[in-house]
Amino acid sequence: MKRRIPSIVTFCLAVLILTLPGRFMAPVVITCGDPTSGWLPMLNLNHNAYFMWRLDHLSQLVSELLSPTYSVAAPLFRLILLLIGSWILARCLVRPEGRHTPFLWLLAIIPLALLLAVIGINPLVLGTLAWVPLVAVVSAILLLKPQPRWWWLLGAVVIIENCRSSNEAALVSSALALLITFLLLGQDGETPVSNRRKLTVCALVLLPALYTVVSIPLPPIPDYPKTGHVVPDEAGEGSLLPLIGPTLGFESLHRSDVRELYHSVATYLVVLTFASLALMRRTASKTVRSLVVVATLLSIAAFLDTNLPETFASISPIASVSRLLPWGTQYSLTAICLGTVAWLVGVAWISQPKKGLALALAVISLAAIWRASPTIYSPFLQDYLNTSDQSLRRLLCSPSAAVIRHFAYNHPNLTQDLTNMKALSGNKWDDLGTLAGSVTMTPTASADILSKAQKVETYARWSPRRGKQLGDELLTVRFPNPVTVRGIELDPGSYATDFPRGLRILGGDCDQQKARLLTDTPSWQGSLAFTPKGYPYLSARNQVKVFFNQNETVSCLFVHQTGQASFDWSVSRVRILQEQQTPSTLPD
Amino acid sequence: MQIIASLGLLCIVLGLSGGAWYFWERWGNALVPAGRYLGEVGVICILLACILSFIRFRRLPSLKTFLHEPTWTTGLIAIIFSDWICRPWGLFQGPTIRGELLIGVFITCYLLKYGWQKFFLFWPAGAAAILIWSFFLASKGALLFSDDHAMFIFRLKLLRENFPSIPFWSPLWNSGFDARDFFATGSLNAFLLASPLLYLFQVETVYNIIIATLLWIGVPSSIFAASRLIGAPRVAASISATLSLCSGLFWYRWALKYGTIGFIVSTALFPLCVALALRFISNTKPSRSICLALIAVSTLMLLWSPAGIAIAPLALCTLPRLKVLLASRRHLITLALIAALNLPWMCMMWKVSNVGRFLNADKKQIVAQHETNSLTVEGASAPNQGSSDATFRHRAGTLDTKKSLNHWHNNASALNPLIVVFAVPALCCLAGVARVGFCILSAWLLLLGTVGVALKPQLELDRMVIIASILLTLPIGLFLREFFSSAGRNPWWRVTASIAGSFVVIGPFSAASVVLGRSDDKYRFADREVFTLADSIKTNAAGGRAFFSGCVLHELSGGHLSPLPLWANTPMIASSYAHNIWKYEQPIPQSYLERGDPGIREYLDLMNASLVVAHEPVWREYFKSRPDEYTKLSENEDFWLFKRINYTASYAASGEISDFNYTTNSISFVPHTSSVVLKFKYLPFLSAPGCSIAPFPAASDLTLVQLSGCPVGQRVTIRSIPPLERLQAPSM
Repeated sequence: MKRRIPSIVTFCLAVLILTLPGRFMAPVVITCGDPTSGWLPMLNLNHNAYFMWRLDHLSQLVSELLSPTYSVAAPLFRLILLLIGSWILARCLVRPEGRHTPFLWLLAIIPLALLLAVIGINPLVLGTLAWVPLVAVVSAILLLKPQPRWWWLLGAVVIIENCRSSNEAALVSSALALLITFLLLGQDGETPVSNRRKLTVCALVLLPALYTVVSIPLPPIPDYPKTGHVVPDEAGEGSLLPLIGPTLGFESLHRSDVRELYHSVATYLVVLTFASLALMRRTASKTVRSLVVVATLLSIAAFLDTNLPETFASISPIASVSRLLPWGTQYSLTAICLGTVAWLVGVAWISQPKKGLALALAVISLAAIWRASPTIYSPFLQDYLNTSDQSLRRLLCSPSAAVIRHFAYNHPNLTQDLTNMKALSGNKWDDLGTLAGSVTMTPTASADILSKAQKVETYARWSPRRGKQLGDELLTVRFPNPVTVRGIELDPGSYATDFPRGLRILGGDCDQQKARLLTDTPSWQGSLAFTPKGYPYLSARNQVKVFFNQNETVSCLFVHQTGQASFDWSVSRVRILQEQQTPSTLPD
Repeated sequence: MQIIASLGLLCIVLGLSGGAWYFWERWGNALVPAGRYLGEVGVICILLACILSFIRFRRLPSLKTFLHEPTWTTGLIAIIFSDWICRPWGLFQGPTIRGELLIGVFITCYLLKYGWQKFFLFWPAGAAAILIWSFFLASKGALLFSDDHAMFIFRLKLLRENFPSIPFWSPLWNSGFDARDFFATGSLNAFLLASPLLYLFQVETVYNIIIATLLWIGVPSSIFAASRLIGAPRVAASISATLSLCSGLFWYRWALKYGTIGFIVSTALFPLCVALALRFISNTKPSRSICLALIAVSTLMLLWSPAGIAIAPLALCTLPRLKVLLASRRHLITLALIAALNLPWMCMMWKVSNVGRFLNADKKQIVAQHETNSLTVEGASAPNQGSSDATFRHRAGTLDTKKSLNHWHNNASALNPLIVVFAVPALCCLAGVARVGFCILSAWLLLLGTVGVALKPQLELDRMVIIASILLTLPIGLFLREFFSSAGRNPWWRVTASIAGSFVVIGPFSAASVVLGRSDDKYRFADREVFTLADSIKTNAAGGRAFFSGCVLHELSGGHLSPLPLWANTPMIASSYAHNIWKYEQPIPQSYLERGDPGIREYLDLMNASLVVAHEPVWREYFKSRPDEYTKLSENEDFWLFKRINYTASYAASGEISDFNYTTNSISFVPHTSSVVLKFKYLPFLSAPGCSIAPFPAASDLTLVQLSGCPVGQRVTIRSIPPLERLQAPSM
């Protein structure tokens, strides 16, 4: 009985964590439509991954049987599948004398708990990993000795289900399964396997995966203009597009959010995998150690992807591999990588002889991850998911969700105000001259040549003329009388690179100390614009139209340029938006 | 000493190819301000190596001293870490591609330990599959239409109906034109290779398949065969084949964006032709299969005529064996057959295409003739694009080292870095006649592509660098195979070999991104507007022609207008239906334009234009502002279609005809008067059996066809005289 205590305690702990309300079961994705009806667009609210998704046959069957509770049934079924797979894999991994470890199946819940602690209920990661252990074990059995035909049939079924379950990530899950298969081959001594058999099994695993990724349809894309984008363009236009395979034509995955979301988890997993490696180096079998080595390498890759500055993160292994895979930039490979690390480490723990150590590590890990990144489980837009506003849900179910979130940080009521904002974006902007306003820029503003600027924009512009943006530039707009404004345009004209990199606008009295903050955009990504069907997007970055959250009565506007760049900040025309009283509605 | 010598040569190569070098990206201060500094370091290193060699061995260093592979690989490292990888028009488009290359290094490192031979043996097939998939993914089922592809579709359709009776006269464009550019553009080689598909299916149906097959099956297969012919092992041949799929960005520019398919086929066959020729020269009695293959391949290659200039220096390799060759019957018969197959069409081309005039088209007085036209519509001058001397491409320059070096810099940035860095050591690694042949050809092609391009711009000799790069894939494949084989010596060798291998592994992915249109160079497929416009014209032409106002070049979906008459079942008029103008040109002659509205109306009548298509704002406004003469039928993204009001279509300017019909190479009608002036331009090689044909000067710059003595009420057909007659005729 004494030997069974750690298993029972671990199991209870894991179950307790899994059943905590709202924490792990909170959805982080929107599936746009009935998930049991084939291909559907799916959007991850955390980092705006937008791709097509479908359930594997078994999950679909379970979901259809339990259709009223789909949101629980499908993920739960995959968790159960992974639990069974983890147990079978762990049984294959433990040494013969340990195969009858009491309650090994109870311990199999540890990898699951770790996985959920790291990435939450993420259908992509769960779908990718759900069938992997089964594929790995079946492939290993097929490789080791001649099997009857029904084994090959079983193998084919498991492999096809794996591909249907992982969809865009089918190549990743198949490659992972093959890797585990070949690690399993090294278990209990070298077993000679013919190259022909290896090739057959590899083809059996990889060809359906290739077919899957080739046959996935493009998700519906709103009619954004060519210069429009939805996520910040950090590494240069189009530089993060994949080298092969289909693409939406623009970047949808918000890499900054991926980094923000997972950087602490990745750091923790690096420490954990190294600790596991050190602790298991003598006690665990060679295969288990290899699993931990693989997990360690993956965690380092995830660490590099999430902790380095974007310049270097964009050439880190995960970012690079994602560009080499079809659909690889549509979903977060980092999430899959972290989920895999957590699961592999969990499997390695339960497969090594000292179960007490596994328990200790599990408790410490879960507690640490618990603290690490609460944002994973509380996506910003989740509150809006239960809204009855169907047009808002339609907008959230598109890459535009990132735009809504981008602006909602500054404008908390944006989702309620979208209709009005669309109407505003189509309004006429007034030249400053019509309001008798004047402009000055510091430091070393060129001249207050407003009237000339309105006539010949190429020759007259406000600019510090320093050849770079340092973040201390200030453009002041003065009105002779207080005016009610809803926005300001700072058009760089033909100097397309001279847009501000960051903006902080204050307004009110002409005493700057008393002016109130109207808007703060640390990284200028473009103006809020709308497609004819009402999908918001970010315009080209050199289109500098700033909307205020509400009408503001001001005598002066203080526009601080807060970013840094190796291009000047210059403004050839300043225009003001004054709200009209005829708001349009968002079309369906 | 090997390291110093190799480093010296590498520095010279990089100095010549790279210009200024920056670390990581082109910001801040340059690490090396100009290429000459690297060159100077290179010279010093080589001198040092010579001194060391002289001290130690009492002789100058051997060629082998300069071939230390890991040292040459440092050139690739320099490229990865410098701004080179971020330069515009690079095949490997940085800065992010560094990550993929790093992944490639790991993959190759693993492969070098556990069986690289099998991987590289099958990699060309995998790479070709990736590229073909990418191409069809990019096409989304649409027809490749970019630039000359449209023209090429047109040529293939004409050839399908008229081959071998070429050249011929066609009434489809500009009141009749001489369809003779099959020779000059090399269309025939692709046509002959693709003829089984072309005769079985519609050209539009199989065009994308033909292009994909030529580019991603034909090219690597040809390179593989060529490599095997020069004695390379299969793995080396496979590496060469892979490299040919990712040789450089400009290869895809000419293939997919510019659509110069004749050149592409010829370039693909060039290495095979060289390999066959070298085998042919070096064997005292070459096998029949070699001779037959040489005849077939060289003929197909020479059908794109500049290939003859490219391969000419290979004749130098025959000099040491001239006596043997002249004594061999098999050699002589082969050469005679090649001549017999090619001289007739070459003579025809020389005669009908005015090759002599074309070769002298860079002279000032001939250029000036092109620059006289300008458009004035209602007092408003249309944009006279590229009319200045400076922008006219076909103006001969003088020998300018700086300009030539700039040409080379641009080309080098666009090439696969493996080709730039390893070309010299790879050539040195070859043996015997292959080394001589490849060195002479590579040097000659680079000379043409850098120096020659300024001297004879109308020949577009910059393409010779692309031919050189494809040719160099052969020795580089061999060199890399040797390098990979010796990678087990020590970890440093393995790492450097992995860096080199990384470019072979990742190259096809980079090429795929170009094919998918994710590079700086984008190409186009036919969008819906092409077929909408063709349908609108077909519906509304009512027996007349469609007239494109202004200067049209690539405005229709990025391609030329050429195939439109076939899709719209309507002959057309435009300033140019192909890429044969290099500056702004109007379809309406100056004498008519100068007369304003009456002149334009008269010219449209003379051209039997029942429809007018406008894409330039000035012409759109012109037709729109005259509602009593033109009514707008449709408005597409680029082209507005107008119908002429109160105009009855007829192809007779004087006299009376009925039952007018046309094909791709003739017109036929029933005259009701014995003398008829037709609204077709007169060309001296036209024939009309039963009538006498003569020029009719309608204006100083417009000559129409006049028929007299025609049998009234009997069908008359006008077509070109047979090609052989044309060849014999004194002035046609």
